[in-house]
Amino acid sequence: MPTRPAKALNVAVPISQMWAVASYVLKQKIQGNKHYPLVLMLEPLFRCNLACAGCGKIQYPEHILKRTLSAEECWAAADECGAPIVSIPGGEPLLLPQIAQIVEGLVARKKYVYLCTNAILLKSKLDLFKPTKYLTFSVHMDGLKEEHDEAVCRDGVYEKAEEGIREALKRGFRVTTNTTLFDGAKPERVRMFFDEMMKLGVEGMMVSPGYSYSKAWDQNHFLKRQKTFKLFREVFHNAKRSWRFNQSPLFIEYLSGTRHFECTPWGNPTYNIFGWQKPCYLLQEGYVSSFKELIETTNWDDYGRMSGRAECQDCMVHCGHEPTAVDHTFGSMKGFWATVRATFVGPKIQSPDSSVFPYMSRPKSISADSTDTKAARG
Amino acid sequence: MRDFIQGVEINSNDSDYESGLRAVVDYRGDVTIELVDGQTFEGYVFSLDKNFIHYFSKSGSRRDTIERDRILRIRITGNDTAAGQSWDDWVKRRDAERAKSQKKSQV
Repeated sequence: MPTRPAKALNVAVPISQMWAVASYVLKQKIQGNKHYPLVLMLEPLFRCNLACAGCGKIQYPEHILKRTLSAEECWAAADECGAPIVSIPGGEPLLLPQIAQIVEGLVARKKYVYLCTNAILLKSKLDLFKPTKYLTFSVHMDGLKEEHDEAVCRDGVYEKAEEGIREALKRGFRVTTNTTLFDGAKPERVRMFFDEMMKLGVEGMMVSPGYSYSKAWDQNHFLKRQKTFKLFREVFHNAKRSWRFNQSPLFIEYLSGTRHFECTPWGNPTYNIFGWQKPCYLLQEGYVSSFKELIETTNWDDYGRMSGRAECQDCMVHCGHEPTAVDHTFGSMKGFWATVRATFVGPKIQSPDSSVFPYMSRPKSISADSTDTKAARG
Repeated sequence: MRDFIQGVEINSNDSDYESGLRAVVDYRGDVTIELVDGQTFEGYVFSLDKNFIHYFSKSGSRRDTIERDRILRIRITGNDTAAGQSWDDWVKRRDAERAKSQKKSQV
């Protein structure tokens, strides 16, 4: 079966935000700045009111979980980094007493803030915030009730999140969802979940495959990557017109194996109580005290699939590859038109039965010693 | 290579000292650092560079650093908060529980 557009998958990002990102990226291009950040991942705390399976953000001693970034530290990081978008994951940011103050300061800086939350506290905390185009609640939803409650290891969280989303939408806030799909996700259920979120009225959805860590370059790597392609092809082939996404349509083409992107590890730099995390949101190889130091002292060639680093071989997550998609959009006319086409006509998605996969150059070599790197636990 | 787990002591003259230091940074629990002058610090080590280790003292409020030259030994004293908490561990536990309850219902 030939490649076909996914019936005009809607990209739900306000024009003002698109313009802010586009003008920022073009400015970086004109200045010849290759290592520019797109989204600051600001983690003001690791503490959470859930203990999801496999979440590495909460696996710290108690005295670390009690520590938080001050509002001033958060603003300084945003100023230093300069990215037009600030994502606030955690931990659960709504547990922070100073979260409204942090958001207010970022909004005053005209940053587009995505406050990532499990939404358990959303309804009760909404009074702290004012609706603005700069603030979006990005609610963690890993599927329909059964899948989501299982992923977060607690019953009733899906309903609680739904309740929070409804209230936030009623009060005029921007609300999106963020979904991580793991091995074993059922495409039909994912499609039903998209329908549900659209019925709920969220502005758009973000979806990304879970991080898959492997230590050796073997057939498993191909299977894992191909499994991701197959899953996303099954989900997005014959996509519904009603679905809206808050992410680059080229990233969806990448996940579905229509095109290939290498990682941009500096695209979503992470700042938390330890400092600037080297090199990316998922790998932890230490911290540095300034963003400049992070950019200038990290050997970026050591990361991404082409580096040969074992941990990067199966990684297809949004924090490394969506910045590549955005850079591709503004890096060439070809990329720009591909984005325009995918936005208005829909991303090209291969049939789930297709054995056509994008061409990928073979990495330099798979480094055996990279296995002693701090494994991703995010 | 040794397993750098709770209870292990890493001396600055050990042949695997460098690997030990890297493992300490990777370890999701507290360690106790003993300096050559006899001082000790307990805390969470989160980063390492050519000259320093960076840590949060268990009782202090700020990030701190110690020169690597001053370290005599490091003991891994705190629990590993990540042990048994991976996604795979959870899937195994869940599958075992499901199998158990299925068996029970069959009986």
